Amino acid sequence: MSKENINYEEYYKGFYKIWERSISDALEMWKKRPSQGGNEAGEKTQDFDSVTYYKKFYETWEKTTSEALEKWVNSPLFASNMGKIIEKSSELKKNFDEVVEKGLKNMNIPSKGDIDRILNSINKIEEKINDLTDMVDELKIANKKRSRK
Amino acid sequence: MSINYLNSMIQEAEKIKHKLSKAIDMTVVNPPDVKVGMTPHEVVFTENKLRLLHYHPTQKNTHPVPLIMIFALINRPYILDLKPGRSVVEVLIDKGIDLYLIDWGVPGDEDKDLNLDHYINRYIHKVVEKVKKISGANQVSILGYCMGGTMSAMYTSLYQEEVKNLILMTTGIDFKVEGTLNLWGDKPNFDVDKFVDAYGNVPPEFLQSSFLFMKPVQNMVSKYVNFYENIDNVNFVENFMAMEKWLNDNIPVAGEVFREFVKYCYQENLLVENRLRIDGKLVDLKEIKCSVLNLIAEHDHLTPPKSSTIFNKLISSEDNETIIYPSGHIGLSVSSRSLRDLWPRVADWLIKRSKSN
Repeated sequence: MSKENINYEEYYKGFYKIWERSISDALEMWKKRPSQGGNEAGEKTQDFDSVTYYKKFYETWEKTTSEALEKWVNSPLFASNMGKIIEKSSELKKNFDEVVEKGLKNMNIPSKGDIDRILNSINKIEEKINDLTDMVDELKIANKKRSRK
Repeated sequence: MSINYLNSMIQEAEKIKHKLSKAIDMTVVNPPDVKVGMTPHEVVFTENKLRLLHYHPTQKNTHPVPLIMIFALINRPYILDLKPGRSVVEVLIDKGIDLYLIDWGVPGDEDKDLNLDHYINRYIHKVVEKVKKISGANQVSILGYCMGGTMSAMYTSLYQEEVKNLILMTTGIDFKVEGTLNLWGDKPNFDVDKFVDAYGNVPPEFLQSSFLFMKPVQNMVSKYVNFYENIDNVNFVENFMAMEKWLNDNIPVAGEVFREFVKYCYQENLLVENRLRIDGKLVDLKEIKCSVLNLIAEHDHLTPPKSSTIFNKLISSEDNETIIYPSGHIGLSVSSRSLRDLWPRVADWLIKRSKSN
């Protein structure tokens, strides 16, 4: 889905409805709990296991909230907004790094980029050494075979 | 409010106090030294940050075709050897498989230009050559996990003569099926050029937060509630701590390979469209003719099963099989059930095809 096709209003409404349902489901469940051990007259009604009810309340909240949030993060609206944030933060970082790089260059101090280029050259040398070592090994094996003959 | 009710509340408060202080002690004050990747091995080859591990065999005789495990460039490979008793590596070597694993290491800023060409034509190919030389085998078997599986499929297509058996595990091939990462990584939503140009390598925090946001309640709430509930279960806590160590042990990804992977796979789906070229050579999945086992996690939220199932239809291998296992992306390698049921089956599949070389 392209950014232009997203109906933002509808998406926000949809998420609000799911979120509202998740909270009201959890609250409904909480309201239906039995009396907490006694009525207003002080007579005992039934044992109230508060822990079990907190757990059930939590489970209801967890289930409905995960459904709502997963639906949200899987929406083109979320993906598009997240993309915009990443894009802007990338631009900001690039500009900042360029300013720092120029500043260091003016002061004749090697930048991180300069050090990275040196390390990269060392890596390339290591690859060449590995290739040469393999070639020497192969030559040794070939020589051994030849001398046996 | 009855006395009984008050008493039960006080007892519950005592339990909560005990559990919370234990949780704080274990996670903040005295966190245990979690040892991972403990199966004995030696490093037989290094290049740049890459290390090739060779596991010491536990059986007198090993099968003639060695197996190389290729992990994703994201996260560490020790998830395959998390801890004794919870290790794919252990299962495989106990079955007599001659086992190697590529540890990609942690890319530095100087590695930001490493691309798919370098990873496949240089690193993987070099490792295959090394393993052949050490083992004396003419061909190898490859097991690729997640992104490592996609790269393994690319390698096998380009170097079919080197690969006797290919096992893919939760591997994305078709990136246009419905899935969270497929949506987030798609072209209109993610400008990968701007991102890589600015950051160089992909920061580990970026990947970590992306994965957390895929299932926000599960990853940021439920997991810790579950930990709290099971804090007196020593076995649970040990496994939890090992998993947490792995989940938080994120590493950067070399910028260029990330750019290419996102563009070629997530945005242009070139592998499925048979248009992917690496160093000018077409990566044609039809070139894959070896025995193939495709392992798919039924509840995988990172690689949707449909993204993997297509693979067997795109290759030429007559001997190909798919196993859809009821687990998640990570559960496939660490759950006690998969280690008990699935991996011995995978080992047997491989052994049957590793007789002669």
